[in-house]
Amino acid sequence: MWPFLRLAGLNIVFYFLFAGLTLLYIFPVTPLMYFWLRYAKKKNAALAARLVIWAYGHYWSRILRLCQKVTLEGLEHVPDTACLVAANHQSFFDPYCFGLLPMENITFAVRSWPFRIPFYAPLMYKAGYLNAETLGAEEFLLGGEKLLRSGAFLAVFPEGTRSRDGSLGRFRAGAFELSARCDIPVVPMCISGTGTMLPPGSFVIRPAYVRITLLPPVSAPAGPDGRPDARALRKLVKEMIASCLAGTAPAHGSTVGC
Amino acid sequence: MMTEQEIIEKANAALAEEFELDVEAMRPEALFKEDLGLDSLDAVDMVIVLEQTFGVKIGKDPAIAQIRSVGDLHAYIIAKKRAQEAGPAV
Repeated sequence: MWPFLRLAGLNIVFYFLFAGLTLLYIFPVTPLMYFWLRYAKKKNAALAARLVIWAYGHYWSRILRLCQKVTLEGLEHVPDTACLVAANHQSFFDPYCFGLLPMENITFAVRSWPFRIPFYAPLMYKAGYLNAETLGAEEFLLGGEKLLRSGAFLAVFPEGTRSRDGSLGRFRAGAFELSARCDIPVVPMCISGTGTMLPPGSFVIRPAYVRITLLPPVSAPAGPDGRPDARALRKLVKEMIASCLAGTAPAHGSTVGC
Repeated sequence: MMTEQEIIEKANAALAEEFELDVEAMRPEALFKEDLGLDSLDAVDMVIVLEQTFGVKIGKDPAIAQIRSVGDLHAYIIAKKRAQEAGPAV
């Protein structure tokens, strides 16, 4: 009986707070914050949109931390300058984890369907999100390079979709090709526990220990021809995340969890 | 100059490695989406792997979007390779 009541209470609190925050964000927070950033703080449209989205993820993550144990490790690996962040993907909640990172100027490479979310889609366009499904390879690489050169962090889920069984799927090449082409490092990000908390196909929040670990930045090693080897970089990042998921990677830095 | 068979075998090997597929599954009539389980996200990877394997420039070529089957891909890459061997387009 107690586990059921706990689960019910967790879901009621979580969805009540989530719905409240989302409604508040749709109106009045998003328009007010966006125009305040644009015209009082003189931020450009892309950065203003990114800050609005990041803040939403940040406060949603804080709500999560009222209900679940969340730890964040490896913050010392966040570079001062732009980089790619490649994370494994287990849950709908994973993108919100980026709200806990000190990377306010961050944008994402995503599939097509998020561009159809009401209210969110216009901000995504403003923030310069990359549609990895409809952009051709060259457009994706040029768009990504432009974002990185402008100083934005670019987050990707190289698996392209949520894992159904917790195992790491095949990593797509685009982000690693971009890293090699621009000579900009990738910070591997290991997210565990979100797949237990909110797995694909479920709407029931379950108690879980969410652990977010940033691993040391890596650049493409030189290949046999002396040029940066994007394929080797992809393999390396996947191995680092797999080791972290398996609990074999050392914890880095301070724990900032609740 | 590579023969058509060599191009096909090289393409099949590269794609099988990239997409973690069995080379035997790379039959000309196999559809990328329905038979091999690839999706639109994989188009970026396909371009990258073909450019690197064959040293050709595909870039924004709209013809890549028309490729549905392994056979389509073979025909595309053979044409690209032949055009490359014939020299730069004027």
